Amino acid sequence: MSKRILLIDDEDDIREIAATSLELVAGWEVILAGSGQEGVVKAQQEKPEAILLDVMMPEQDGASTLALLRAQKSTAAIPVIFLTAKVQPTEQRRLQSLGVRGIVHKPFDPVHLAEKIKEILGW
Amino acid sequence: MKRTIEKTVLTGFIVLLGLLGIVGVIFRRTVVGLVEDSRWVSHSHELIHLLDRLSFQIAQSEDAARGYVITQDASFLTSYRQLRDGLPSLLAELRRDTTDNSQEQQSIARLQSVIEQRFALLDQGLAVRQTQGIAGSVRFGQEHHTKELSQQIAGEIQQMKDLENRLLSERDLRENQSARRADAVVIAAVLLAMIAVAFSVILVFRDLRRRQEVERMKAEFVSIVSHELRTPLTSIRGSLGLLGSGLLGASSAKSGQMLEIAIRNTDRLIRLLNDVLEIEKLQSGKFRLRRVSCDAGELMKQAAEEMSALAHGQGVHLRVTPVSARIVADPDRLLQCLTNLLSNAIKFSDSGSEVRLTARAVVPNLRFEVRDCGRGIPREKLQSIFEPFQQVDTSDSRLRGGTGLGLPICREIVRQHGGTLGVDSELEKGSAFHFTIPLVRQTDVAEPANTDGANVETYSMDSD
Repeated sequence: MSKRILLIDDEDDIREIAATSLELVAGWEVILAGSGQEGVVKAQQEKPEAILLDVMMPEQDGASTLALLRAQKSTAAIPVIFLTAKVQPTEQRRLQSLGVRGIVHKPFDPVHLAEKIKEILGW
Repeated sequence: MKRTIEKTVLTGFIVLLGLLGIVGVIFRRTVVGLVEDSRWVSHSHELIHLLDRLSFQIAQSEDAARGYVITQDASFLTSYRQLRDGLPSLLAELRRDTTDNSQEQQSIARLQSVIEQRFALLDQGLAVRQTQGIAGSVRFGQEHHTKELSQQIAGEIQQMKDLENRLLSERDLRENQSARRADAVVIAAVLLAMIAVAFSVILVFRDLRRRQEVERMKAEFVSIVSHELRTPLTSIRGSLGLLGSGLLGASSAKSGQMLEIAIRNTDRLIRLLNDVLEIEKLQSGKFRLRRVSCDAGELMKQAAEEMSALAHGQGVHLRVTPVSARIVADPDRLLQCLTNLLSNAIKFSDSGSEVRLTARAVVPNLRFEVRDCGRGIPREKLQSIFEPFQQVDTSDSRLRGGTGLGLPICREIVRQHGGTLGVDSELEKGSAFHFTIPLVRQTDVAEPANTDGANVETYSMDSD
């Protein structure tokens, strides 16, 4: 079944690869946002079924974006998965404690990205 | 010059010891001088006392002689003789005590001569008293100027006392100076020691602060490297993965081969980056084990399951004999260690050969062993393989896909569990890597009954 996913990442290349992967492998519709601010707006407009959110972004990082999404009634219930290159256990624990459904580590295998998201969200 | 905390502390202590040594020597010399000066002051006091005694004894002798002349009482004569006979010993004492001073020795010689003259006259005067009566004695005294001799004796004694009093003043002054010097040395020593200690403490704190700063910078660097390398790697690996998957259209056989090489090496680079970060994390002490009581047998099975695909690919028989024991360990880390050792063993085994994972109790530990029948490790490399990037063969990382950090990471994990990782190996026959992990309790261990194979689970993947 087709899903609508919002991908928020400041890296153009990673957005392109992840979107291509999810569209081609899983046949999902991927909405793209290049910043936290843009992501919050698109989440309100598009009402995606899940959000893939990068942690390290300039100006408004993943944690702040998540807080804004949770603060809005229309986006508070959308499951969020963090996309991160951070591997330190303390950082992992901190991210997990923010209330996301799961974490996908960079670098990821584009062929198995959709599978990983399904596993986290129980789809 | 970069100074470590050890160097700083050592320098501080050497400086402190040096200062204390110098101060000790100065203090000893000062105290010895002070004792010597005090001894000379006492000596002067004794000498003056002796001169007073001599003067007093001579006066008493003359009084006794006078008493006899006037009263002709024999007791005066006895008293006179006793006092007179005691004089030579007093003079001898004086001579002995003034051996250091030639001037005083000469005075004593003169004094002795005058005393002898004076007492010779007294003896004669007393004899005259017995034969010629009191008038004869008075006449004798007037004729022989006895009074002048007495004055001469008193003069000599006073001269000696004056000299000794002068010496006493000088010695007193010297003694006071020595005492003041001793005081100054002690105060200087305490001040210097305090300065040295304060200096050392400042250096130690500065060094600690610098270390903390280096640690902070290192952590920041690791975080940056982690992110900045992973981001482009994500794009590279992602693009290659999509191209290699065929989702973007079929590529030629040669292109496919090139893509496979690019993907394999990107994965190797990602593993290397992960391992470098991992060993930094383990060695920096920032990582903490999550120790719980866990089932060793379950972990062994899990490790073998994870490695079964690799074993299958290599055509290697992977046999695990799970032991029924509970250990205190971080299960994720222990699994990492077991899979790493199994992965190495599989990679260095020939197709058709066997890799065994076993464990046995060596109370109070459980000893895991991963044995292969591979090429073995030369004796000279048995220690170095546990060091970063020290593989048996330099081509190993390229050919077998290892990073050269697997064994150092395993060793660090085992070390943090309080165990040791080691290896026994024989060339062309194989190697056995073994490590120990503490058991929960001795009674929790049951040796595997593997003689009939009932308790043996086999993860065997044949190549066909």
